[in-house]
Amino acid sequence: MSILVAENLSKVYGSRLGKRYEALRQFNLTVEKGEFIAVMGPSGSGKTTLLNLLSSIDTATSGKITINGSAITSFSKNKLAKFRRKNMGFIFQDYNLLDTLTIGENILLPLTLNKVKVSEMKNKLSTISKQLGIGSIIDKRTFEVSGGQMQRTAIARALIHDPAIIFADEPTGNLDSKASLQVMESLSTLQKVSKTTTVMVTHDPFAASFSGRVVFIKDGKLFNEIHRGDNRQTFFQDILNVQSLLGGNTDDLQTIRF
Amino acid sequence: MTFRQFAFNNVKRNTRAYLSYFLSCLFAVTVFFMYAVVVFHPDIAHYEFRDIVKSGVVFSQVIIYGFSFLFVLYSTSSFVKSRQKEYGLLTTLGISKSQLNRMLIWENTIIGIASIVAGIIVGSLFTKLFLMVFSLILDIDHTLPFYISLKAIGLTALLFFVMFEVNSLAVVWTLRTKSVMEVFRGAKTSKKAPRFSYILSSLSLAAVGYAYYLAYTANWFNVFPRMGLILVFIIPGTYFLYTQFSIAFTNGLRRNKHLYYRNLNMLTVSDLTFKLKDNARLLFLVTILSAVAFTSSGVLYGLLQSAQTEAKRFVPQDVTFITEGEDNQAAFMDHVNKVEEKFQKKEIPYHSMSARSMVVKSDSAYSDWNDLSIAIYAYTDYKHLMELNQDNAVPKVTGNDAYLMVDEFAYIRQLDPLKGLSIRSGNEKSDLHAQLIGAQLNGNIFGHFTMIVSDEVFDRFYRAAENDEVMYMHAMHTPHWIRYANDIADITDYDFNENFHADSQADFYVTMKESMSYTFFFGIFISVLFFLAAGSILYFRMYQGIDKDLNHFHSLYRIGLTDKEMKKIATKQLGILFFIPFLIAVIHALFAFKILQNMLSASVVLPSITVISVYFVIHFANFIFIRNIYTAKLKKVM
Repeated sequence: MSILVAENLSKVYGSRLGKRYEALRQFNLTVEKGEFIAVMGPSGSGKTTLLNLLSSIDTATSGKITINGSAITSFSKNKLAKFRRKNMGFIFQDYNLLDTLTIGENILLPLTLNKVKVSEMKNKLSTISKQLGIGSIIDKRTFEVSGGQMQRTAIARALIHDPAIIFADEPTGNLDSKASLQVMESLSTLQKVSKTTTVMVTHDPFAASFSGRVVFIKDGKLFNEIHRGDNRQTFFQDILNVQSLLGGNTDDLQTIRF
Repeated sequence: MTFRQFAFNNVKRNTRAYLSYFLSCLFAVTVFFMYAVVVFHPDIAHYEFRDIVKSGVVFSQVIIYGFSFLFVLYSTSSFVKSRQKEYGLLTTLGISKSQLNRMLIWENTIIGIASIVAGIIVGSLFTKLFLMVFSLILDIDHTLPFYISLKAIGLTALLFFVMFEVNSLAVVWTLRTKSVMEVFRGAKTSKKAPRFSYILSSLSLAAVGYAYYLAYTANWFNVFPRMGLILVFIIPGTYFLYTQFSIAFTNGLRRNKHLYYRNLNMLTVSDLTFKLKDNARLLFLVTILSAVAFTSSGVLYGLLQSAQTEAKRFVPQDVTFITEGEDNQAAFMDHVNKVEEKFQKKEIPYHSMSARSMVVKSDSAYSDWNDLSIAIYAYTDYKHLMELNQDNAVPKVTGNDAYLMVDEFAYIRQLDPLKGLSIRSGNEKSDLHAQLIGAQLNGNIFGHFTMIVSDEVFDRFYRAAENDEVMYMHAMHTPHWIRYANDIADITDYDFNENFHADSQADFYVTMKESMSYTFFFGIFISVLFFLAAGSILYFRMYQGIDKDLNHFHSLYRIGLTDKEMKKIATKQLGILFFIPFLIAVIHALFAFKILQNMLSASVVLPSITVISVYFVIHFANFIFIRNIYTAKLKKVM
């Protein structure tokens, strides 16, 4: 069953009179339930634009997106906001945690917005924080914990309300290699356990190697697509090979970090 | 690009950041300028109240200037502090401290000059309106014509230019630029959780409570020493109420999970905790400014409204004339006739009668009642006087009974018991059973107290009275005297000689009203100024913090916060920041009104409700205005 279907998605920046820039051209993507896909590409290839469109933070110039059976491209802004917090989870490069709240409160935020019972909130919080190994810090404030812990908090927040799909934007972008490993391992484990569909944008081949499928885009169009076999190490090598094929700026080729 | 151009472009191209600062300066200049126009208005010189009013206006000018100084100093320093990051960047690029100082002074000078020019222009636009209100309140028969003297412009420009320069020097002098590292790290470090102390929170409540108690129980005799004491408790009490108790309170809210986790409460409360902590000093300032504004305008308005009741309280009879000694009788009657002629000429309706009285000495074992001069009246005369004035008389006095009139202050002072009182004149003596009653007849300069005795006792004394012990009283009842208050005051308020004594409610009323209306005008003007300043401080603070809020709400938007919910949260938070100081200021002011009420016989309930309602309407309009700007700005990131 497809959770997310994007058809002929286009995004043009700039006004009709001014300089136009086509960030995404007639893009098609289908994500099956429980799938974990990574979107890769050089800077300016349109991968962040794609994620913003899929997650309804930005609106497409043309095209259609269907998530869980609802055509969200026809929703009003208000309905979209409500749809987002019910059906989607978000993980951002800058964590996007509110520093006025504690770690635990940040995780609970989607539940309070969705008006869940307090007893249920407490149960869910203790379960998910244990799974992610952040049970001991839920009363701490955001500035008291490390980047890896903040990103795991964000993962907990993205998953706590059992969303249909999770969007992750460069989840390892601000982390060192050890924290990246922890974050990616917890994300992929949780994703497998809860069978949540995940779409991740990254230019870190290491992070991408945790996914089941990597979609490469260049200049707003699909470039290539590779699937993972049994071994993550080989998959990692495959990703590197496609990246060198893809060219792009050398800055975007990450050094191997183990 | 020269350095000066750099400073100029900084201002020109970053209008949004400078706008709030500019507006606050503009506001100060405008107000000062309008008062300066009055001071230098040529027509003001032609009125007889010139001295009183002019010194009032000049006094207001001084207060406004002093206040503007602090206000601009505050705005400058908070504005400069909000740009620390920019200075850090410039420091990284290699700007020297002296160059940075020069840049700041240049920028401030540009804004200063711009706001002086704009302030004078805006002030000129409002001058006509201001002169109209001014003429109306001071009872000038025609509105002062529109006239702006060059002196007013010169004075405003000069004083404010000096102010801006001195202020920017002061701010530059105290500015400590952060190290480059600090600036870059500063962007990432989050703020610590607000802390509070239980001891200080409870002390703040206790201090405020004690001050309220002092105010509630104040009276004429202890009010002045108490006022200082109240301030000593209320000001630090309010301060810690904001810095400590508010945090304790929101922490309490956070602990109640059922309430806290419900819907938007978590977002609202947690953010509010930080906002309260960050703005505690500011809210304190706003509260004190508003409380001063409410209290002074309420008290002034209350006094103005109470003039009639107070006149009745201090001068129970409408109009009275009294003289002492048989030798003065003829002259006295002559004078009384002249006065009545004047009343007739002015067509003021009246009824009048004459009454006998005489001065006696008292003897008592208690020092409060010993050796007093007392004016005694026969009960029948007293009854007629009361009937004339349409007041209720006490029951008939017989034998050795008597009523001694004391004003209400005497009750508060806890006098000795009134026992074993006897009175004596040169030739007569009598023991009396006297009771205290409130003042019903006008006092006079010849006796400390007034007493009602039975007709028999009075006749015995009167027959034996010596020449200089006899007193004559002529009383007039003037129905609807308020209508003729000015005329009656004119007729009764002139010196005869020292043997005559005249008293009238109208005179008391007119004097009180006159002195109050000047004080009222200046008081209200300055109060409104304080109040507006308090409002604009809130506005500028909100404007400065908006970038952080934009980030905050953008984060929430990405997770899925709707427009409506954003508006709800923003309205609640702004509402609390706006109305908590207002509410506390109102409560402070209510206790101040209670002090006034304890001292006045007229009710101050209506005047105080009026004053607070007017302020509330202004404040509410201000709130709606600012909330709409704020949410419109936030909506852009949603």
